Amino acid sequence: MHSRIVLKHSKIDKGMFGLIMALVGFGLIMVFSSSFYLTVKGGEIGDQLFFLREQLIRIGFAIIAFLIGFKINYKLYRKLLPVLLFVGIVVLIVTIFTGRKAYGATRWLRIATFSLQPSEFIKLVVFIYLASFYGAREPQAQTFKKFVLPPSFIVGLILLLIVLEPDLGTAVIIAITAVFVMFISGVKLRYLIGILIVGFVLFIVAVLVLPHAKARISSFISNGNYQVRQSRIAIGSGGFSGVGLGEGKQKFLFLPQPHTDFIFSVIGEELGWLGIVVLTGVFFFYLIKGLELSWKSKDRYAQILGAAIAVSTFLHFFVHSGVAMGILPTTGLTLPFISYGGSSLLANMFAAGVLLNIGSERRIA
Amino acid sequence: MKIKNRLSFVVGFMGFLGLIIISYAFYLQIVLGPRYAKKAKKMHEERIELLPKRGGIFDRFLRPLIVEERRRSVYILPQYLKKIPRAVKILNKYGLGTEGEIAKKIRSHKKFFWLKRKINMKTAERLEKDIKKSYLSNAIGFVDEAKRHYPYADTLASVLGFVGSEHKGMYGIEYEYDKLLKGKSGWALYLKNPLGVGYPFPAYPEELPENGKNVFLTIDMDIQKIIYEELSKGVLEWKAKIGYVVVLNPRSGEILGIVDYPDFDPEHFKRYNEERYKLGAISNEFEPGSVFKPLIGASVLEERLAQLTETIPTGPVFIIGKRRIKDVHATDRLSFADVFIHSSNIGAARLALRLGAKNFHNYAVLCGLGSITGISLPGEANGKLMSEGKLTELTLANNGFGQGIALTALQLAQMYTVFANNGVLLRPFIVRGTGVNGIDKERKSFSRRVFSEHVAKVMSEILMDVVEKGTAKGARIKGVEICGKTGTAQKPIRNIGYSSAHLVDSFVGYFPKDSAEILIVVVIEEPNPPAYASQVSVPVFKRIAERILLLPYYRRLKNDL
Repeated sequence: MHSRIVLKHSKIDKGMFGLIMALVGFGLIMVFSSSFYLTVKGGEIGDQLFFLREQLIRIGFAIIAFLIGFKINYKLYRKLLPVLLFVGIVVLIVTIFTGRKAYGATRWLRIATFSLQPSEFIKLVVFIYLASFYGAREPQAQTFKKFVLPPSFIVGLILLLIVLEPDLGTAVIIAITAVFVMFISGVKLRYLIGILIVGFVLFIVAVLVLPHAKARISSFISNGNYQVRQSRIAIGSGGFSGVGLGEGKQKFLFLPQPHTDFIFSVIGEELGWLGIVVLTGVFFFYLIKGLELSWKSKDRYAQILGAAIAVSTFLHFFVHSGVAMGILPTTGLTLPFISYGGSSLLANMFAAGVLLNIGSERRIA
Repeated sequence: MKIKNRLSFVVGFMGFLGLIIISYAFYLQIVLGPRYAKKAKKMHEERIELLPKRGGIFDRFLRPLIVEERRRSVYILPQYLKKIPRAVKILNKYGLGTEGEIAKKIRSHKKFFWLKRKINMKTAERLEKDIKKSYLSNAIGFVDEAKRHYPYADTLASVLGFVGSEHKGMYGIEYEYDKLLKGKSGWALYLKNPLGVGYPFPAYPEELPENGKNVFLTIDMDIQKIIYEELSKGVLEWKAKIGYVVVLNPRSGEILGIVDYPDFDPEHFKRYNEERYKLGAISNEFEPGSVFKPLIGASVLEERLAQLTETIPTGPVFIIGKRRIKDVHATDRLSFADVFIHSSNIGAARLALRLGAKNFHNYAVLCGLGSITGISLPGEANGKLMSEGKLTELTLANNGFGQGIALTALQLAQMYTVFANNGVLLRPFIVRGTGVNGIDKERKSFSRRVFSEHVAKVMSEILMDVVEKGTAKGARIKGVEICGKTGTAQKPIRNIGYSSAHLVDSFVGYFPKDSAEILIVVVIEEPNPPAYASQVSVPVFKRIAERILLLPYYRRLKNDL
């Protein structure tokens, strides 16, 4: 089968593209609203536009990443898979030993002047691996040894490295997405249940072994987390229609990380329940549209890759919001497309590009 | 299960997750929303009182009588104070108390408290820098306040009063005009961050404070200074208990100076007994004695019950019931004028009886006795005046020479405006007006005619003779016609009766006779050793009058021949 690396006459799904740009634009506004006070030091207001400018630069790079993802034929990644896996694992190991510490974890890797969070990109490598593995195999006549064990081993190894960073939150999201991917790839339910049980036990072990994870879980159970209390006050005080865009008060140093890990709280405070309903609707629409676009492809590899991207994005949204409202333990996850932060935005935009690339393939064929 | 179904299951499951988010958000925002909103408001907002600037007080020539100095007050929010030992050390270094005291204060307060009010700016600025350097600004804060200084100190203390610790005016003008001087406080909502540091937030409402109005007095500070100095000299010289001086313009009712001695220093008001805060010239009553007699004379003339040409029997003793009224210098008969010039008690008593209780009471009330003058100062006394029905022959006779009635130095001054102002009584007043920039409305005195112009002029002639050849010769000043009357009254002492050891020496004088512009009341209580008014209060009057006549504005009242 002949396939080009760069598609020439690709047509973009306008609805999906518009949705993504709307999310990014909305994100820019919310980043500004939640960050302008963060530059205050010693009672004096600093450069209020700092985070706005930085986010604009990041959006610029993210759009380039999106275009690359959109233009490059997704099939290329399957061919590059061994390289991607090797590089990914090496980078994870390097990060564990040399990465920059931030908020108690070495999740960042400094490359030249950019700090990147490798786990955001490893996530995509895992999806590509799972898609190419199951895309090449039919679920009929599956055996545990041939159909379940190899991907479990490879993914398990990568997850272990991510947990060691430690970034338990991202690892859990990748793990859950992986289970969903295996589910729609046709893995038998009894195998999946087995995986879930093993996974849960390993999760418990990880929580008990990692001190800060243990602390977070126990504070979640005892309901004694300052950040979450502040976040709930923010969301709760928003009421039905919010206190108004830019009018939120919790971001004035009450709310930790209002522009990244708790941007949902600012949205809830300023735009109220209506804002949350619309936001949830938009992410759900992104999921359905993503599944629809990928399932129109005849290629099972494309179907699974697209589904993985769509499902993981929605899971990110769910976990981020759940943390902000205090129904999930704090993990430090960004809100896709919206939160301030380079790695997450770059990876999500690239993945969205890949999803749209899959979606446009059908029309050329 | 088919792959398609599995996909639908995934969509359904994700939809379920989405519903969890929406429903839980509903619970947080709609069900618990109001409670969270309340909590948030409490956390974020702080209502801060914006203090208005207190108004000033000026004399008649717009000279400021009060100076405001910028000071800074230090407060502590103990709930945010983490590094107590460090804070204590710094605060101690700037003299805000011993380390033990400061630490105790911090521990004993849970919330906001003033550590020290109104420390000087330079110290405060250096302290603030140190506080900032040690990252204590969130718990130790500063507020600018004004400290009111009274540059004229006790010269004017009882007139002005002072401002207590919570910006409250106490005594004097500061009390009487407190509301006006104070202005109206404003408020602002401040946004607080988690450290408790508040800052203005543009979207929050605020109400700016309304600054206090200025009060403009009729007082002439030059005269006020003169009377304070001369009165204090007189009181100290005679080791007297207390003295009062009132100077007013009898043509307008404006009080040009009013003072009592001893007074107090408003900067250190706490060191004095509260009694000192009062303005004795309006709050202390005394029995006037002979200085009261001219009222009887004028009333008798007005009622045509005596002739200027007749002589009044002033025989050695005048007996009413058990009471024997005597004169200092015994005479047989005196002309009407001489009754006043030589101050005969017997003559005045006889004239009072001739006048009768009804007329006497009537004229006394018209001259403002027995009720406050209504001057805009707190603590005015009514004085004592018997009702018409209670006046017996004896009490009326006693009242005739100023015994058994009581008045304040201010009431005495008011009474004499009748003679100085051609028969028309003027209510004295001390506030010309109030206003932000200038005076909103110039006040005028209330006036009423009591005697005809003729009677008033006759009384003035007689009172001039009192100074020229009577009991008050010591008050004469070359080149100006001065009218006046002395009073040497015995004080009624409880269980003893009238005591010749406790005297009230008074003198009221006004000049120039035909168009008086200055009326001076001098009262000195209990000179030691006891002495006549001519020795005690008349010299004080003379020195005051001489010095007033040297002032540029009043020099014209004197003919230099």
